[in-house]
Amino acid sequence: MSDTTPAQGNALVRCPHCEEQVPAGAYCGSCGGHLGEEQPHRRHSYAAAPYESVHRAAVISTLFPHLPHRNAHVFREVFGGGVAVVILLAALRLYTPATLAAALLLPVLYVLYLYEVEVYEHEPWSVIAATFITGVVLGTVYSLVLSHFSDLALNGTAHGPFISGVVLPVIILLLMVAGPLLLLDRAHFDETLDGLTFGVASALGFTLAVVVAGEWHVLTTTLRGSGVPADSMLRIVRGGIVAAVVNATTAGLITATLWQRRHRHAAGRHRSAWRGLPASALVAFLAQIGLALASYFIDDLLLDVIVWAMAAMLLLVWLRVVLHHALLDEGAEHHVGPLGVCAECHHVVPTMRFCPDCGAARSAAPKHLRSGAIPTTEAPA
Amino acid sequence: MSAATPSWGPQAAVPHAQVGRKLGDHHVIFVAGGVIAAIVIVISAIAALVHPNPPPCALYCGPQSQPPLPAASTYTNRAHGFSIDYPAGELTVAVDQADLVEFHSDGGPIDFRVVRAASLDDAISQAQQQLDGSEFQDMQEVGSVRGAELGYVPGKGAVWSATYQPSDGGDSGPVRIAIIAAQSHGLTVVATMFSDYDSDTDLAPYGLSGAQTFDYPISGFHFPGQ
Repeated sequence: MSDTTPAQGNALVRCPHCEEQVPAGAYCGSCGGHLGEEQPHRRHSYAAAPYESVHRAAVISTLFPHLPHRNAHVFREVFGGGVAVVILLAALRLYTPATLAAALLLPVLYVLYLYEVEVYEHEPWSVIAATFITGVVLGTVYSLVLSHFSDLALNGTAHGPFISGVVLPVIILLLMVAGPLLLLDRAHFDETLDGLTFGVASALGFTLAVVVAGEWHVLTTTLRGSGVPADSMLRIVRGGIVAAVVNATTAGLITATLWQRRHRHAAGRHRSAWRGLPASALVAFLAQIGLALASYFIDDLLLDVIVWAMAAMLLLVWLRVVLHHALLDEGAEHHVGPLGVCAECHHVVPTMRFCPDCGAARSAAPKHLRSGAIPTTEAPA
Repeated sequence: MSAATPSWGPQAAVPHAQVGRKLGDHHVIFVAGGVIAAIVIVISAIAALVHPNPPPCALYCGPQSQPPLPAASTYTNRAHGFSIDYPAGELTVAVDQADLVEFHSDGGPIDFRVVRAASLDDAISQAQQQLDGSEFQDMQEVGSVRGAELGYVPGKGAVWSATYQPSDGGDSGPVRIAIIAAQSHGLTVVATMFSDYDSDTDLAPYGLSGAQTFDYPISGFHFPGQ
C-alpha cells in the first residue's frame, strides 16, 4: 500500500525522526514515522489501521484495533447490518427483539473479536471473567440497586440533576473500569491496547446488563409494543448502541492510558499532557457527566440522540489520537528481526515494531500472528 | 540498537488466504447473527407466551380481570377495557362514563379520557382546549413532562401554570395543570390533572402539590392486555 517503491536488497536508510538506521520503506520500522515526511505524527495513517486517517470516527478500527483491515470489514458490515435490523424491528413495533438486538450487537461482536485476535493469550477465561462478566455483574447490581431507590415519578425521575447528571455517571464509569484493574499487574498484559481491550469489554458487558435490566419491563410485556415507533426507535438506538459506544470509549480511554502509564514502554517522543492518564480520565468523566446532564435537561428525544451521537464520534476521534500516539511511542526498542509476514498488508518484511511497508504497529496485530511466520509454500527465495 | 541486522530480500506479498485467521467472514456473520438471533427469539417467544397480544376488538372487548393490589382498588372501564389501580382511601371515582373516568382527591382531580387523535400532541392539545377558560385563567405552558408514561407505556406530557377561578365563586389561586397522553393497541388515553401550585419542586414535581397522589393512578394505569 505504500506510496513509495519498495526497497530492494538490504538497503538501510536513516530515519529523520528517530535517527536510527532502518530498512528502507515507506515507514520507519523503529518509530513508525513516515520516512518521506518531516512530521513524525503521520496523521493520515492511524498506527493500528494505516489505511485510515487518525481523525476518523470509526467504531471498529478504534474499539477493535487488533483486527487487520481484511478481517475488519466483516465486523463493520455485521455492525452496520445489525443497526439496520434494530431500526427495522423498532419500526415494526417489535420493541422486545429490537431492544435485545441493540443490547447484544456490540458485546457479541466483541467476544468474537477477543477470540479472533487472542488478546487473552493463554488466559481466556480469566480475562473474560475479569472484564466482560465482571461488567455484566456490576451492571446488574447497579441497575437493581438504582431501581430500589427510584420510583416512577411524574417527572420521569426521582433524582435531581446532581444525582442523575453527576453522581450516577461517575459511579458508572468507576464500575466499568473496576474489573480490568484485576489484570493491571499481569506482566504479559503490558500493552496499551491490552488495557483498551479490557476496558471496552468491561464497558460493553456493563452496558448490556444495564440495558437489559433497565428495559426489563419492556422485554416482559407483549411482543408487539405500542407507542410512537420513532420515539421508541430513538430510545433503543441511544440506549443499546450509542451509549455502548460512549461507555466503551470512555472506559477504554482510561484503561488504555492507565496501562500505558503503568507499564512504561514509551520512548517519550510523543508524550503530551493532553494524552496522558489525568487528561484522559478528565475527558472521560466530563463526557459522561455532560451527556447525563444533557439527557436530563433536553426534552426533545431526537436532539438528545443527536447530542449523544456527536459526543460518541468526538470521543472516538479523541481515543484514536491517544491510541495512535501511544502506539508510536511504544516503538522505543530498535530491533530488526528476521523476515516475517505483516498481519496488516501481508508483505514479507523485517520483523520490527512497525511494518516498513504499511506502517502498522506490530503491537496492533492479532497476537497469534505477531511471529510473522512465512507460509512455506510462498516463502520468497 | 539492534545487535545484528539480518538479510532481507525484496518485499513480497503473501497470498491473503495463507495468512492465519481463526474466523472466516462467514463464521463471523453466522456466529454473530446466530447468537443474537437465538437469544432474541428465545426471550421474545417467552414474552409472547407470557403476555400474548390481545385479539383485536370485534363486538366487545371485556376488561382483563386482575387481582387487586393490597390496599388498592381497581377501576375497570368496560367500554374500552382499560383499568386503573388507585388508593381507595385517597381517591374516589366521581365520574364514570364510557370515555371518561374522573377521580377526586384532596390534592386535586385527575381524569382519564379516551380520545381520537392523530398524534399524542394532538391528544394533549384537545385536552388542553377542553379546560374551561373561565376557570383556568392566564394559562402558560411551563414545559414538557420528562419520561411521561401511563403505566409502562411511554407517552408525552406537558405542564401549564394558570390561575384557578372556581365556578362557584370561591377563592382563586395559582395552580399547575399536567396533561399526559399515551397510546396502546389503538387506544389513546389522556390523563388531565391539576392541583394548587407548590414552589417546592422536590416534593411537588412541576409545582403540582398533588403530584404524589396523582402518581399512583398514573403508574397503575393498564391498557387492555397489560
